[in-house]
Amino acid sequence: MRAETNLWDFVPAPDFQLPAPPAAEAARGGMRRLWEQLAGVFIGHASDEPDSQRRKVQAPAEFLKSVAGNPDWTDAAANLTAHLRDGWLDQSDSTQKVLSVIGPPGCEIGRVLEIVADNLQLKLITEPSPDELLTHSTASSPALSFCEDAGEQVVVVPRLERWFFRHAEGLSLIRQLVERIQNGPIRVLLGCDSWAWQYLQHSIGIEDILSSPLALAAFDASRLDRWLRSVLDLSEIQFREGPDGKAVFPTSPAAGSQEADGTQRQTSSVVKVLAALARGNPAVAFAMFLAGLRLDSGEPDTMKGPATDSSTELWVTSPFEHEVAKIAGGFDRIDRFLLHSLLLHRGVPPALLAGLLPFSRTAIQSRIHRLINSGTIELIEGRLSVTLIAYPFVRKDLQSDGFLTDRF
Amino acid sequence: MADPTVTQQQVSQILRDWSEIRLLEASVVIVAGVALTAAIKWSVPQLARRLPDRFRFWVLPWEPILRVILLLVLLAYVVPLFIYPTPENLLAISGALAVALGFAFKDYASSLIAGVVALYERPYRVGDWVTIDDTYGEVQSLGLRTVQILTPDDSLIAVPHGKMWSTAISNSNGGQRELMCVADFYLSPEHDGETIRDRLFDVALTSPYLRIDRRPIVVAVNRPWGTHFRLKAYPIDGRDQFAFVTDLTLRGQAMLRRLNVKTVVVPSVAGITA
Repeated sequence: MRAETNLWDFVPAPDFQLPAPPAAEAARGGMRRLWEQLAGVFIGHASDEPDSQRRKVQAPAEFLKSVAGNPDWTDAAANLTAHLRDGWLDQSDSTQKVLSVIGPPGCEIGRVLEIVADNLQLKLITEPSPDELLTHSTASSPALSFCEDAGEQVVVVPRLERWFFRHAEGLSLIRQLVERIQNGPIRVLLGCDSWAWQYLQHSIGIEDILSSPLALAAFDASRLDRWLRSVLDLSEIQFREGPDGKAVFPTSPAAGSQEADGTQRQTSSVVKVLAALARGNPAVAFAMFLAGLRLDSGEPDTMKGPATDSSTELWVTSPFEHEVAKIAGGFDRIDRFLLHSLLLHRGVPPALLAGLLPFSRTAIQSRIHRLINSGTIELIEGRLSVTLIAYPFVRKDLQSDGFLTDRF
Repeated sequence: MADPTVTQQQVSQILRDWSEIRLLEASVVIVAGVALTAAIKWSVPQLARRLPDRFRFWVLPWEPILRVILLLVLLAYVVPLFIYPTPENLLAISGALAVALGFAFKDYASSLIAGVVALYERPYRVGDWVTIDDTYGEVQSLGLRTVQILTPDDSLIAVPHGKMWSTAISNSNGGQRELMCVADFYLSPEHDGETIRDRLFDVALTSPYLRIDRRPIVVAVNRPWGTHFRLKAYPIDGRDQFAFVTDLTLRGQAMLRRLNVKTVVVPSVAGITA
């Protein structure tokens, strides 16, 4: 039996490989998008919900929660801990003083590093307040005092994206931080959002100074299939796709992607499409999977509680049929600047957004309401962020329009 | 003295008899041609607007080219409906046209020919930001005789193509999306130049409009009245140039106020040149 790759591998960021879409879907998807764009010019967008979806309704939220909870990053943290123990942490005399780990939205790198810090009993550094970020000062900030305090110890900075703002006064502190880390005595394990990292690389050359980061290896179709089988309750629920009701997870839900005789388990087309559309981001793929679950109409009333019926069937719809996929083509210029700001900072408190954008508060507020109503952004823990379901479409739209994007 | 009968005979040999002219067909073709020209003029910019912005400068230049091709096809179809298309007739008509163009429509013909040359040499394309004489704006369309330029004040100016024979044409973006924008700051001499340079650089670096893979540049020049700083940077899209310069200027001024740096007040200083 072939050894399976670890689900939660961390690789050098330059070695990150995007999962390829199924060939037929790549050609079909490209042609479909071109047709939709041309049709939009002369005909306008029409409701084109397939017949197969008209008789299906979205499953209630409580039911979906019982199907699968939020992704658990404990295994990812455990793997990173082992990776660090065998490598960077063991090399106390190494010249590589900083190890950076970056991840796209949804991959909670900050949370992963917090668990790692707890596992290894390392000092965790919290980010400064937004007010402190916007105070340009050449004097040493109290937030940087850890750079001299730790001695030979290793410290963990889990969320570097919270150490700057894209503001004329917002780069001072992070410049000081990077300089102190580079010249100071301590070693630092750094976590950062991939969009923020890319911006910092272009603005202050962070990767040139601190060296190339690690990233979670892409969840291709095979990996995604294994992970979904492990988090979904396949003994209770049947997942189906397409008009003929083909099973999404066709073989027995044992761990791994191989049968007992070593043959490869079949991966369904919807999982392949999800893996490609999510660009290897497991959190995005998972969110799109859940958002695409449908019941036959007439069943929602029976699904108000947790899933208990072993004969329950859920239908997995194509992510291109999500409402937000259609909205993404209609962003105006202000929408794009707003979404780009949210992605660069991995979420911005609403009160600070006006200070980061060259538009009036009224214009920003009206767009915030519209984008929240369309499911493109959401308010979580006091910060406006792009939803995971909207993320692939927003990213593609921004990239097409020439905005700086991350490498994932 | 020319014999009128011979002249009339010569003309009738060029022109078809009235009964031979398919007037209805010619009318239908001309109307269809005009409609098709209008359709091209409407649909190509619409298509450019709907597609991702990076395709704009691939799509827009095709509008005048398609219209010229359509015009040539139209002429090739309609003219033989009215004249006998023999080599002798075409030569005779060309000669007459040359005389008419030479005397009466000299400037018009010059602009027409310049328009054809402009399609080939491309001193400007649809979507370019150009300066011709005192006119600065975005090229909206290339007509047969004129180029239509929309100024920042929303005025549509028709500039004859013939201007290119004798006037320099300044093209700010040359078919690309980005063009350099400049924000000027005029400071009194009492300031730390290096600090101002670094802070202005950050002002550009943190603009949402900035095309970040093109590094901003700060140029400082001493003048008799103080120091002239020029902050040069590229926006993501040339259409944002005015908003970009506004953003750089306002945030730059805010930064200077925070540093208590004095700016030069123009009326009290004579002879300032940009």
